Amino acid sequence: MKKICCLFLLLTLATLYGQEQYTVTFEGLPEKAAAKPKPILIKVYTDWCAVCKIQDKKIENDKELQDLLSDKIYYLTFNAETTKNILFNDKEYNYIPQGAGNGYHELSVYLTEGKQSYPCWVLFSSKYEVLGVYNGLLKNSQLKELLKKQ
Amino acid sequence: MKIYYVFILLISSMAFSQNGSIKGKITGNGAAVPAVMVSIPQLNIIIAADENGNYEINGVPYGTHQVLFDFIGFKTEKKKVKVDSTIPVTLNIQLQEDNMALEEVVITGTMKEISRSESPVPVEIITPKLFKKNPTASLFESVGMVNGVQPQLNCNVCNTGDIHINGMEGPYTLILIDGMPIVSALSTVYGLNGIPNSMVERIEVVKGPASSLYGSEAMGGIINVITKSPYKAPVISADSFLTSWGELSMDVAGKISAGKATSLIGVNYFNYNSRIDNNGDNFTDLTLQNRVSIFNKWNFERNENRVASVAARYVYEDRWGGEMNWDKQWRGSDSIYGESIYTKRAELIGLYQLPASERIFTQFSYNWHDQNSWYGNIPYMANQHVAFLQTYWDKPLSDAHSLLLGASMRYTVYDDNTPATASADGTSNEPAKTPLPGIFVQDEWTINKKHKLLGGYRFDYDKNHGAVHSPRVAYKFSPNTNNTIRASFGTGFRVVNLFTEDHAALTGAREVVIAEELNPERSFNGNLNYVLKVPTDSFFLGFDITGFYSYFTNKIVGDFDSDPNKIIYDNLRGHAISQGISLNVDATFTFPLKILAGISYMDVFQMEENENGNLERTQQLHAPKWSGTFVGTYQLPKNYSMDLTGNWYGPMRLPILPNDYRPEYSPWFCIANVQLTKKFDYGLEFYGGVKNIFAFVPKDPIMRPFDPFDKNVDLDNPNGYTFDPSYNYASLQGRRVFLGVRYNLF
Repeated sequence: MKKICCLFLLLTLATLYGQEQYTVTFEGLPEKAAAKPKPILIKVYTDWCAVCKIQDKKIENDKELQDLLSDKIYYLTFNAETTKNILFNDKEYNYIPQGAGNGYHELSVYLTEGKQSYPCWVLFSSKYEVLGVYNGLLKNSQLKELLKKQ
Repeated sequence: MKIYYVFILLISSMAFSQNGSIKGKITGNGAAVPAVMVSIPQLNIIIAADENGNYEINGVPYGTHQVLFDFIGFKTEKKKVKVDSTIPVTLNIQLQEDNMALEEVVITGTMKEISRSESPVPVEIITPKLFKKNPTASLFESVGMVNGVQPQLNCNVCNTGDIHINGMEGPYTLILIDGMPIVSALSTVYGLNGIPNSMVERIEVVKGPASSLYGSEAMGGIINVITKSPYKAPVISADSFLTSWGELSMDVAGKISAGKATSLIGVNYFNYNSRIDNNGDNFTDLTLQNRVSIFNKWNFERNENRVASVAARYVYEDRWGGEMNWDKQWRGSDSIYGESIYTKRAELIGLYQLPASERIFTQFSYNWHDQNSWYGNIPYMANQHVAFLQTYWDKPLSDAHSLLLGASMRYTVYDDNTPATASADGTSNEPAKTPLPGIFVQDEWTINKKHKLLGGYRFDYDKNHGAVHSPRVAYKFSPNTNNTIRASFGTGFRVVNLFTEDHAALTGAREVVIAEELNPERSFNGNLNYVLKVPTDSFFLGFDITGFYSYFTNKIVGDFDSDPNKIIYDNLRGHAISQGISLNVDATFTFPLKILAGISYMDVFQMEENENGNLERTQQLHAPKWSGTFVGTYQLPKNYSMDLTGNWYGPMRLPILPNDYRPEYSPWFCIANVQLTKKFDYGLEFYGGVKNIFAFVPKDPIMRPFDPFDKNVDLDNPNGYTFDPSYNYASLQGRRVFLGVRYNLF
């Protein structure tokens, strides 16, 4: 019985962990931002981007950084190659198909300015002004520095 | 004892050091930049500037220090500051905007070279980024960088080649452009030449049959070239390189917009005109080529993001190889041997989404291919038209089911100067016409996040074979994002194809006889694929392992020998098998190194009935049991990067003559290339390197090069050898240097 309890606890923890409490979804953002305005940090990634996966691991292994991500800002992740429509800052961004499996997402063009270089970090003020864009892997120390200033 | 010293050092430094401070204001783009990270790494000092861009660092010991200013979106600024008094040193900084720091090597993922699609069908996606690591003049050579894909030259004089996938010959590989069968039959041999790099968005490779979606010829595998959308293309792009052999390749493209239309126009030119004979057989080592290709694509903006595009391509090529003293005047003569081929080719492809609420697309293509060639004194004049029309309905039935329903019609007209396309009495011409209608259906069922199942079925009707059924099942299981298993079963077929350059050797009137009801050539394939991703916080490892088994039936080859007045087409009693395992590994680190390596083990053989009626095993030609690819890229500071690329092959069986003195199996060999690239901020890029650094060239490529017309075969030739240029396993080009420049303006 004890074992099962432990297992259950572990599973719950795992699911909680898996959901990454420090990230906010695009759907959840407007409500949260209205209640408490904070700067917004978006990490643009793709499924094939190995560097993005290293970046995620770095964040997963650093509790202090996770706390900063949830305290200081709203942290969102965006798959540059998604085909789903996304509402951001009251504007709808769509996937534009161009035939034969070709196409692009308007939000990814807006965020990355067309540069296909991931992860791409875009920092917005709480009023949705772009504060900075950075392409590439960030060290945890760099991220923390950035977050502490917000 | 040591500790004691440390103490003394500490105390003395405290006693003697005096401190000053540095302050200033940070601006960028004419405004204050807030929250910039200011640091002195040697002193472990990190502070942040305030909201107005002001900063002050106190307690800086006397001396000269390097101060770093870091902010996302700006170049890192480094300044040396001398602190020698207690008065604060003022250091105002203007940051330059940049996304990529100049001094540091930034680790990013840009356009992954090779990845897998989301589909349950194992599709490998290759971006032109891979090909830039070892620039080549044609896609034909480039695809060799993909594990399991082997561009194979079949003739050492004219450099005819085909693309082998998992060891099966070229006619089993279907080459598509935007999903349409454009490069087929006659054009397979040179069809991949003259596809400008600037028009390629990506290439999709399926190893294994895919007739359920693509129909005839998709037996051994497919290569699907997806053309670039003009929207994504740079305003101007140019890429040109020159090698020490005198090969010149130029690729220029530009885009224009006119109202709701955007157009991409590209020109590709390749020239090689030096007669080089390093192996001293009096034959050109590399076929001389002069090729121009023009590509133009239009995309139209329509309501509700509906798709409409049309594209055209034209290729002209003049190539010849042969004796060093050959000239155009000897074309077709029997005094000086040369193989000379003129190719003209035009293509039109289009895609149109119907203005309906349902997603219904119509695709069409037409291509015309004209080949005018002489192999020594044997002419081969051929002409081919392929028209293709397809309409499909992409219908998401629910969140779980995505249905694809379509119908297609392919019409091929093939004509040549050989008896294969002549009327029975040989007096008039009778081009081969092959209409091939088909319908297909496919459902991708997303059972849940972890399970996906794809089922497909296609029905084609051919006049020789009647009904042809091609089913396919594929299943994908991803228990989490780092593990994916794919299992797929697919079938392929090919309708009887009269095209073969062997016809060129035939003279006189021959009757084409179809001995019995011909079955289509068929293939069945089972495929098991496992993709494992191992991310850690300092490196990433990706493994992609595939086991495959393909069974090919009924290879139909014209029989020219049984009756000198006939060409007999008959079903073959026997089969071929291609089985093996391939592994791809990619590694990415937090330092700027990336490695991609592939290794394949395969066993490809044919079982054919011999005179006694027993099945006899023969190893497939040009199919090495072991082969592999590798790519290593190291990013250096100041935007330099190094690429090491290569292929290696184990022994492969080669076509030899009876009693041949040349070995039946090739040796192990490796072709490796190295490249250095320097990028500039404004879109300019220089690259250069060495190809084939080990200078590997095959031996004895041509049998009896001194008697190409077999005039003296009876003289002093006990083994009865005849002229034969087909003993080939690698390019005859040795080590060479290349230098190139690229420019992209977005």
